[in-house]
Amino acid sequence: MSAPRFTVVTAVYDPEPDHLRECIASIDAQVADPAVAAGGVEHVLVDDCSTRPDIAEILRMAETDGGPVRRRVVRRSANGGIVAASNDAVAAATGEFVVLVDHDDVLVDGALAAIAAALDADPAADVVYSDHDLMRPDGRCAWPMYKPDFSLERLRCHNYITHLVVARRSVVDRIGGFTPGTDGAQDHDLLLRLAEVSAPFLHVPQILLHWRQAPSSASFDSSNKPEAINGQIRAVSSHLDRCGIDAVVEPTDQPGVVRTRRILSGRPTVSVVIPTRGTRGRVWGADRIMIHDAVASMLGETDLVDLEFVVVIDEGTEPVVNRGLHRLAGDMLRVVGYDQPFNFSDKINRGVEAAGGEYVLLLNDDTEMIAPGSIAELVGLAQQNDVGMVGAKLLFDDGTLQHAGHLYHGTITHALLGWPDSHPGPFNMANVVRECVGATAAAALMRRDVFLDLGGMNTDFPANYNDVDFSMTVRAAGYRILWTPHASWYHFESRSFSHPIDPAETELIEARWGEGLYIDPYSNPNLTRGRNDWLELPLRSGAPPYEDLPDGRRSWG
Amino acid sequence: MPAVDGTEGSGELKRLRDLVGPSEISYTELLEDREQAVLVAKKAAAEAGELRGHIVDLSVQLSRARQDLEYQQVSAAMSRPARVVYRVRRRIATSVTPRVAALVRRVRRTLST
Repeated sequence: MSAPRFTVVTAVYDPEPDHLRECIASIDAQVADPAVAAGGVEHVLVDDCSTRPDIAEILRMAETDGGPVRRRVVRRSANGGIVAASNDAVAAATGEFVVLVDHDDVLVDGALAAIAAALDADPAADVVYSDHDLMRPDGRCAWPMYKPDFSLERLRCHNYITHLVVARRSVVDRIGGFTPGTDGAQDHDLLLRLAEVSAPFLHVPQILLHWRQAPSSASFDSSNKPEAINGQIRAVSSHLDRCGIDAVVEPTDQPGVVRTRRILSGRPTVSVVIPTRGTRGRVWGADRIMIHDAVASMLGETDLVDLEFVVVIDEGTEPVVNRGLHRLAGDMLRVVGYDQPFNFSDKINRGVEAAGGEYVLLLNDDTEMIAPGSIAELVGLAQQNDVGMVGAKLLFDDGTLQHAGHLYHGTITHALLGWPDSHPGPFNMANVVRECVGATAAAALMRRDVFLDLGGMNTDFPANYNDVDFSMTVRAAGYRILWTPHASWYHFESRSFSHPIDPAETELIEARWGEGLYIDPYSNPNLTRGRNDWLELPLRSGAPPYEDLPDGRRSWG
Repeated sequence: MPAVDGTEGSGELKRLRDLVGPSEISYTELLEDREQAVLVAKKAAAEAGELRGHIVDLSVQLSRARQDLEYQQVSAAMSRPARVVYRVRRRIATSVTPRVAALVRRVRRTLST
């Protein structure tokens, strides 16, 4: 394996001296790897006019220590802030890749070797990021962040990448480095601009950096930096402008998370395709014909889109179902009769064939829309050409999460199944629009032409896995699948009801997609397979490590 | 049809209402009552759901604590060399093996295409 020449860039402004020493030592330790040493490591520190005399002394000693890491210190004549200092550092870099490290962060031993190995496997990559954890004030590491593979839509909501970031210097130069005026959100802005020219980024699912928690740092408490959220809104807005996406970016009640509201292009037509046999049920103590309430909940959604309801009704369904639908939806209703044995996929396919809309919203009849504007939210995301399908948030009747995107990490399930709706989820994943491996057909929207081009749903899956198979097909065709928390429906599916799954269907889905089915790029290998709750593997949860103390006692931290 | 004066009309109305019972005036109210009952049931379900959700959340945290505790207990009971061996074996099982398997799959896919 060969390693490229790395330049670690570090802007320095009055860190704790011990923290700076530890940071420098961790960079020196990288050359223990022969390949990294052979490629060469340079460390550029830019002193942004630190006021502490001991910092100047540490920098002077680091510059002249004569170690294997070539170290240069740039001394600014006036304090210019993190962006100016970081740009000076990038300008002074000579390596093929720049490695962004804060003045109090600690690189894990072998971090650059792991990055070099990733680049060796994928030499075309311009940007690499890794997992990281936080270093507590007492020096112990905790709260590991095991990230998904590159997720552009998520990056548009929050900086889920943060550290460690390694980028090809020529690309950083090409985009002009850090943007002046983005102090506090400069990393997020840089990543968004890098994504415009170099996506997808490469992800190394290993903790390669300990991000120091200091009382004044963003890692300690994002709300410590109120200017950061405004900078973040500006960064995301500018990025969306450059991408030709018309949207309004707003703050949320979660620190570091913004919401983008897409402005719809034109007045799209949406066909809501609902297969039904007129099932009756009892919801919150009252009887209902499910599809009537499902349709009624969406009738007010015509502000921004034209709606059509394509209802695929089984032969023999009570006439009251049809009559009620006509009374509710009037001219917006199109009824498709179905006289075949039950096959969900076939019913959906026939509904979509009969649909006249530019977009189709596949919807189960045992649903009820919650958030006004949900259909427009789905359409807004689906108007991106590379988006093949958009899933919605589904809640059980008790408000717990039924669907927050599919998860295929060792098993086929829904992410965060059963979690409270009010929970932000691990690392805010329940609060942000993001790519996911699949979406349930209980509520999913896509362009009709995409659905037809892909051949529709596979009728070999009459009851189960039809949406899994379709999701895999969508992604295999190169489209992204998104999930949004801002479009939501109740799904009155029993929590305790387990679908009888025909083993033949399981065998078929596994035969069709092989072992690749269970590799979910939006999960992480450090998480336990077969679970949907982001439980880390043993000893990777950030719990303080067991250790032998000098006095012979043993400690659990 | 004979004219009915106001007093007679009110009396007749009362008589008819008594005959019909509460339903004559309460259909709308019944609908409202039903809506209110649904809202109350929905709120109660949501409160139960919030608790269920917290149980799920706590279950994850408990699982996390249990598996870490188990690991720590195993570590504490081992001698230092045995602990190193245990960690290496564990790393191989949870990290190296899956990666090698992924690499093999990748090579196989490449060869097959």
